[in-house]
Amino acid sequence: DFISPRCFWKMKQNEYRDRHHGTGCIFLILAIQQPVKKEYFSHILNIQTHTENHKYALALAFSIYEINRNPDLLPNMSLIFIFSADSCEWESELSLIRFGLQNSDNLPNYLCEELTKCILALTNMNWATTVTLHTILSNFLSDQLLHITYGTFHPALSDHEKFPYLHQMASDHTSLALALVSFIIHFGWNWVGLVISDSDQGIQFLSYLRREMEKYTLCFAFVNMIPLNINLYMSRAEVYYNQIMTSSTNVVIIYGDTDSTLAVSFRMWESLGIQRLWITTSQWDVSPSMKDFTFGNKYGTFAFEQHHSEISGFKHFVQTLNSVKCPDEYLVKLEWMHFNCEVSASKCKTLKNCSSNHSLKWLMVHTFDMAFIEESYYIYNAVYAFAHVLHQFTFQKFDNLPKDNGKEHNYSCKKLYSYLRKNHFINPVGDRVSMNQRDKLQEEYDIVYIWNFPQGLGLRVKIGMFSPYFPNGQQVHLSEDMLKWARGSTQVPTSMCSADCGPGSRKFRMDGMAACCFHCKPCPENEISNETNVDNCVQCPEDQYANTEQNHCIRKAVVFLSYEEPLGVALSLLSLCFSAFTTVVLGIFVKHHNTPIVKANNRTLTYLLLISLIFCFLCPLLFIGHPNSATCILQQLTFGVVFTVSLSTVLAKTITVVLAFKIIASQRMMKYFLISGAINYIIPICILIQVIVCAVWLRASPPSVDIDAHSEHGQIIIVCHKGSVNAFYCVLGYLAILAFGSFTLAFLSRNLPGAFNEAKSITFSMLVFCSVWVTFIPVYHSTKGKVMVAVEIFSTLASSAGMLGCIFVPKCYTILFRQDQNSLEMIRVKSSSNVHVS
Amino acid sequence: RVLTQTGKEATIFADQKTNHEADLKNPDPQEVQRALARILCALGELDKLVKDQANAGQQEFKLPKDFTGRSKCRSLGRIK
Repeated sequence: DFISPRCFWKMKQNEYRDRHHGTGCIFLILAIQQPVKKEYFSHILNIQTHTENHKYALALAFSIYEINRNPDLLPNMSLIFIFSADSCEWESELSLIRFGLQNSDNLPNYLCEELTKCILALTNMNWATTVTLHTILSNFLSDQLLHITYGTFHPALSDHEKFPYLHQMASDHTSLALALVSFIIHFGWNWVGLVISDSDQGIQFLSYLRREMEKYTLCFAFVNMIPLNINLYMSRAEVYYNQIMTSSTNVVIIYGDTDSTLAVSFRMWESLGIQRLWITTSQWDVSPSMKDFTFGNKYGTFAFEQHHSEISGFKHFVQTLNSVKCPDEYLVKLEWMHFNCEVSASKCKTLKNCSSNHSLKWLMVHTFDMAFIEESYYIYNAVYAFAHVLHQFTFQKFDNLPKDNGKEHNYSCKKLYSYLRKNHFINPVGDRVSMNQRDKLQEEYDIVYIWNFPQGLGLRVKIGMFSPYFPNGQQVHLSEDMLKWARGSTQVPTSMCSADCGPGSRKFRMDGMAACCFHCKPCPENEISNETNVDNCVQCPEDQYANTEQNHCIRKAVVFLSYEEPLGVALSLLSLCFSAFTTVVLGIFVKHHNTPIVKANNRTLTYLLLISLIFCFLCPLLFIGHPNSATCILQQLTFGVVFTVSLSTVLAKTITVVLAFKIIASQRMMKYFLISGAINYIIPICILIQVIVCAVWLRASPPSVDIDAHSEHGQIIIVCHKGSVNAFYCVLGYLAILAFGSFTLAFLSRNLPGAFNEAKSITFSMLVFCSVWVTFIPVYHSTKGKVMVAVEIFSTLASSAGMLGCIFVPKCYTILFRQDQNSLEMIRVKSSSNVHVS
Repeated sequence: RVLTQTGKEATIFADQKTNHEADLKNPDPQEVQRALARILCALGELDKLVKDQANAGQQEFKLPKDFTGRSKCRSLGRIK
């Protein structure tokens, strides 16, 4: 309901409103004991004065007429007021006295005649003249006149110590600042210009507005304070104009007195065709009577008007006073008229179309009442407040006084005023009115769109409302339909100090910049912003990374050597193939276990070596797949132990060869070692040493899963960390010692006699083994992630394959394809030839 | 459209004191006294009108037939 359509129209006249030429009337209102008929108010229309004065006089007459007709309010009493041309010329008289008051010699110190009644003086003059009037009243007529103003609120007049008997009906516009800020936020603006009168009102409003704007980080593009002095203004007019023209803002707030130099500036700016969206207060329906200014402004003017309920019957009242003098054509020049928007909206898509399609006659037909605009509404409430206080004073509050049912009292204005100041009531249209300044309600505002059309036709359309009683962020309600109908579009210009910082960047302010002005900087590496205009970017979580646009985090790919990828498949197949091949070799050896070549090379050690090689080939399978704590520990332990078994077996084989041939040659003492089987202890001892090393490793710093989210962009590398690198190199070093020992002994034994002497093959196998692991170290350190794992697997397979290939493949060849060389005869021939050679 | 950025609020102050004092005049003391007398006279006239109506015992309050909206107090001084 609060944004129900409300439309007004008015024919603006070619008269320049100048308050110094008879528009600041003083209405004197008093109560009498006689009835007053409606005809009494007809005299208003006969008075030759400014049209503006008629408007207020009629509003006052309507208010008084309503009160006089109300049997519950001041029964048997009536309110009257005298409207004369003189009463509207007091302002010029008072402005003269204003300066005379500074010299007390100019003033009389007596008053010949006292007034018998308490009279309400209702004025709308500039603040200085109001002060003068108040000074006169408090000096000469302090107990006979109440003083209420219905014009613009002036902060200087709200000082109750200086002006104890003065009351201002207008609000101080504290909520207006919040209303404007809410409106600005509603359209997403943050960069607005402000033009105010260089007066107390202007400065106070600036402080209110600045406070509210700072709360919501909105900024002034500029603040123009227009001097009241016309000469001073004229000397700077170009500066003010340039300020608006050069500013990047599209939205300008105008606040101040419509009768001041500010109005002159505004008219001039409009006439120069400045394309800005103006935001003003309702008084700023300044008639661009000379030219159709706002018709050419594509943005238009929004105005804030203090909200109040509709007062109906005003037009009927005025026309019944004098229907000849007050036809609709006259009234529409006097005051805004209500017309039926809903009918208009259904006929034409936009207000502009309506105005061109429909004649004034059409508007007349759909006009249903005359509006009570802000100042008229203040008059209405002021008169009601006066009536209520008089009523209380006469009939209710003083029950202890002799009741004379309205018989004339000589009221003390001071007493009456003390009641007036505390008074609050509900007026006939249902609005709560409080005369207590401390109990003032926060104002609600109607938001209207004002459009001036050719030939002085002005239209106002209510497009929304501001209420401070709504929750924060929802205090402005705008009707999109009405806005579209009024403006032809719901689009409004942007007004931002800086272009938005889009996602992926953040705001960056330089020293001295306004709060809403900023540069945009891209987010730092691996930080994102997914909203516009953020102050700081957000770091992506550990397991995520920023996309290229840096507007959202992407989950990092988990990288490890898996069975699914080709390298993992290849390595695991290689591992399985080698172990299968080793198994086949073992099978061949078992099958031909009675052949000389198998028997000559210590079958037990051969089987043990082949079995350990099978495990060596299977060992890489522990390196492939998603690492976990168990596999990390197992792969290192298995590698260490299995290779120790292999190498210690090779070492045992080599020692056996050495001992066997040395015994034959000279050292029979060694026979005991061969026969007693002491040689067999080498393997467990070697394994035991490696197990101890591994145990120390596990205790000190066992291998664990290492999740490396930083080394590679967009990847989480999961590998097994060695734990203690020193321990790993101890294991590797120990294996190297075994290999090197085997290599040395085998190398020394390479020329020993014997048909199936393995020394040469062991020499080669250990050479391959050592070469592989020596190469492994630099390669291992120059890679990371799954490649590093692959290098380790490859080294494992290569070294195992080296042993298998060098030691067992030639023997298999002999067993399978050279059976002639695998016989006792051949052994004997070979042995004898070797002895001869040696 | 992307707006150009100035980044600083530009405020143009006027010299308020100069404004308020600019139209100070030094009026003639007699003119001041006459103006004051006219105002007080107008108030007295209104009071008298009400009193006269009440004393005349009229049933309803009416303006005198010769009411023109121009006060006799104007003759006390300057006529605009």
